[in-house]
Amino acid sequence: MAAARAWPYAVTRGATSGYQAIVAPAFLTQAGQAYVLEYASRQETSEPGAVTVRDVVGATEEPLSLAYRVLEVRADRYALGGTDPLEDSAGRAIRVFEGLVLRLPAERVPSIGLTAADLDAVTAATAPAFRKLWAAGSRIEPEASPALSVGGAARESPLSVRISVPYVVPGISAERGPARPGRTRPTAKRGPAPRGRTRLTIAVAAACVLAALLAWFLIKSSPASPEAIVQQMCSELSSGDVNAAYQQFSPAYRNATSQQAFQTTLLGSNAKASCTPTMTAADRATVSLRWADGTVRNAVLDLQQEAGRWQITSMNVSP
Amino acid sequence: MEVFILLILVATVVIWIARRRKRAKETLELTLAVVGFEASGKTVYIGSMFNELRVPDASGVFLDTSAENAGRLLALYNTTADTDKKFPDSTSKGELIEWPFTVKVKLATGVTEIGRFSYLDFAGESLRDLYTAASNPETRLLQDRFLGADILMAALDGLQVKRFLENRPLPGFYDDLGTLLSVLSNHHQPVNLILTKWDILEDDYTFRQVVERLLQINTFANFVRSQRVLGTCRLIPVSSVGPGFVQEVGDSMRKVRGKLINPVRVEVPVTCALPDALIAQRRKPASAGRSRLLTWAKFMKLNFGVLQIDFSSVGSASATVSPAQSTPAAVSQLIRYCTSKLHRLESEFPESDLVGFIQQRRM
Repeated sequence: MAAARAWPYAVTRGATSGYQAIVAPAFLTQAGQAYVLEYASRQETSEPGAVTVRDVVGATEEPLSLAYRVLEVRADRYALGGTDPLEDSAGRAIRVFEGLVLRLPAERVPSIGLTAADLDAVTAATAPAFRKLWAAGSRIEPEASPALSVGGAARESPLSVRISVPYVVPGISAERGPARPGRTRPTAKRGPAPRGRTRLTIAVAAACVLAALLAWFLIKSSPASPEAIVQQMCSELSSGDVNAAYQQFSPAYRNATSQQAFQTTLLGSNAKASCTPTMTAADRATVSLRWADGTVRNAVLDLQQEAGRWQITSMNVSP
Repeated sequence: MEVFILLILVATVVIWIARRRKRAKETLELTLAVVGFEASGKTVYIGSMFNELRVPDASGVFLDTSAENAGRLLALYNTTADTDKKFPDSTSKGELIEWPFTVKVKLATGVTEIGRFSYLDFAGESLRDLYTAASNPETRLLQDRFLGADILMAALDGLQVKRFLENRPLPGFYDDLGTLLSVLSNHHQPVNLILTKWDILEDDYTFRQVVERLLQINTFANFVRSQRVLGTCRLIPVSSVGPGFVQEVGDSMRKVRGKLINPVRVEVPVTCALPDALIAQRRKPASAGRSRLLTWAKFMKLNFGVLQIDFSSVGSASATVSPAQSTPAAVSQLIRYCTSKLHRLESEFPESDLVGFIQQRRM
């Protein structure tokens, strides 16, 4: 097992003051990041002295993890006189979260082989700050901790550690943390999106869908205008698509006039003719057809709306 | 085109009916935060409050939560109740927890779920960090949670108040009070103050004495005056353990061995919150249609009774909320339960309506 460098830290409270980091690595205090020790240290188990290890994601660029234990402390532990359990003004036990800050991913911490002596060294390193807090009765400035060499001891059996969920600085993606395949990284708990915003999003989405449906329906279902029908027919005659031009006529017209008769009337023996449409009324148009030999045929077309679409219902052709 | 218009009309009617039916079934969802400094009694209070409300009384109103959370809350309560044990551990900064509750009403026809609320419990010292330490993502998140809460209440530590009444305030009392009121002032909703540990105050002081002394603190009096626009600000005396359960030993409190826990009025802050929040929303100009509370009240057919917006220094602003005949039975029951608790509080402690009290005293 290889030794590693680690920095002692402790988070605790006084009889009349709240939880705070009383000892922290200088690299965290100087970066204004000592608060992560206070928020990342939480009691995971009631088993006394159990060591919890967790990643701290988002506080520093390099990997950072904590290995700590939680203890309800007695006065003699800090040479405060007597052996009574320490209590706050509300008669609650004083808990100390004490441990080590490591610049390693949590998953590598078990391989270091932390020992009881390593954590006892933390107690020794943090005791003066605890006494200072107890005497002050109010918040104190955290003291900088020196780096220690921990783990790697062959003579002492390593402590069993419990790797817990990472602590993620709010607003930081958990993906910034060291990779740990196969493990889900929880993100900081967030509340649901504001209801007003959700409703607005839904309303906008619904409006877009309705608008799209409306546009589609209008394009798909609206009957083409008489002018468009005549224009279409002209284009088809100009391109030689006689069948398509014939389909612009009503069923009644097509029943009465065969496609062959239609073609002969309009085109003679030509396959196509240049065609110029002119609307003379809302439901009447004339088309001028010029054959390849220069012959001109004029046709008067009447249109009616049938079954929701405009159709040509009659045609009179003059030479 | 006609077909399309018809389709749109049919769709509109169907959507309208569906939304109406959904809203009629919609439960109320609120977030509730109690702000207060360390040792003010927030954690003990939540355990006692849940224990008190987990079984319905004649009103049929009760609270429910998941089996796991119920177990944890009852463990908190049992630790509090056991005089051979210390009070539950103080909440550390890393142990912020949001307790989810469901409000239910037991009727002859069955049990109806009316709404849900979550109670945010956190380390009180984080509150101080909002103003005294450099801002960090955790404090910003906490502040956002306070600002986003539908109902915000503050816990005033009864022990600290007692020391103030004894003219020997504990260090930081005024600073902490200022911080607390500052947090509350930034909130857009009415706030109620929970005076915790009433059991250690009531033997030596009347409630009126407590209110009068607190109003001698300018910051406090100004805060109450500022709440006049919302119509209400209550000071609710509660005891999470009951009379005689603890005794003072110096500046500490210790359980009295063998005493039985008997919480007093722990249900009142939560039950006051709903009518107060509804009334305050109703008072806000142009708030109709935007407030979830009012939307819920509208669909539940709740009546807002005597509403007086009184910006003058004379006269009390009063308001009531009551169920209509067509209000669903469970909601009617809840509203009656809440208003009866409120009336009882105002009857036993008329000074609890701080806004009314300062107006009455022309302060």
